[in-house]
Amino acid sequence: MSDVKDIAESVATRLDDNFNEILFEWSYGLLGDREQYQASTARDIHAFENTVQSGIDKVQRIGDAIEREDYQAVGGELFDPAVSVGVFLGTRGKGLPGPDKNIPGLDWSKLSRRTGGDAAQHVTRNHGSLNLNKPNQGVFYSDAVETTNDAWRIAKTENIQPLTVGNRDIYVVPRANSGYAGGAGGQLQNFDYVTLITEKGTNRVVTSFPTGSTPPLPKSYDFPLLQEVKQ
Amino acid sequence: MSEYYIDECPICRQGALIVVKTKDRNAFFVMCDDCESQWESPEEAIRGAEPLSDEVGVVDATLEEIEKQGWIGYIKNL
Repeated sequence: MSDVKDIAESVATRLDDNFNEILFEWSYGLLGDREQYQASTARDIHAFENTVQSGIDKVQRIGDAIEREDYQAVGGELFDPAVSVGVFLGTRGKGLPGPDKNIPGLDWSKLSRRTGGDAAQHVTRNHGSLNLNKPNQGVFYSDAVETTNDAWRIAKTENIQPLTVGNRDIYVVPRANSGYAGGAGGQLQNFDYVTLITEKGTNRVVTSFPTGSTPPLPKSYDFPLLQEVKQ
Repeated sequence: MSEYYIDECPICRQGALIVVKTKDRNAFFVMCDDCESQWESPEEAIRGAEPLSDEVGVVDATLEEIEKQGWIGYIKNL
């Protein structure tokens, strides 16, 4: 027993040494017969190496499938998807992909020139709850600021370009179940878009509200006219 | 929210066009109460002209001030 303990201590202090030698000594120390078990230990080592190599190859195949976005192949390789993917990403110093990490958020600091409140107060007051004094009004189902931030993330992830009118950029962002048609004229229809208006060329929020499909374009929009065919 | 509005905002189609004034009462504008685009007159706002690029701090105009400015005829909800 003391021999096993000595060997275990020896192994523990030599973890930086060749792994095969450590495994051999451990096997010998436990089994007690160097010659008898040397061969089997070698086979064990070889089998272990093969298993390790198989794991390395498997992870490489999983990584290749992920990079080409062949998720069916990924599923076919995995027994425990989350763990295997995590091992792959972790060994390469990567984290879970996320569109948020490199996307600058919205700037809500713009103060209303009329009320003095910031943009978050403005959006919440105008589109956070039903107001029957407004003829047309998009009303958010949930928190107006959070929904708008989510819409911005979608817009930047999907590279949605704004329509610029005057000194306003108007983003129409598809986002299902963002709100409903309120105001005096609204019939509570579900809205699957968020119209987000910023100061031109910036991420400073002016206002935001849910809308149906593409809302009516601004009156000043320059519609291209069909050219008449010259006879 | 202003009691008196002119029309629907031609830019955002959500806000109402209202009459506002600079705090020193020297100038009157038409402004959307949602996207806060500003125009120099009701005519420009209604036809969807390019909004003003320089926006100023404002307060709501009173009905008397709107009438004195000659814009009372544009108010829809009198």
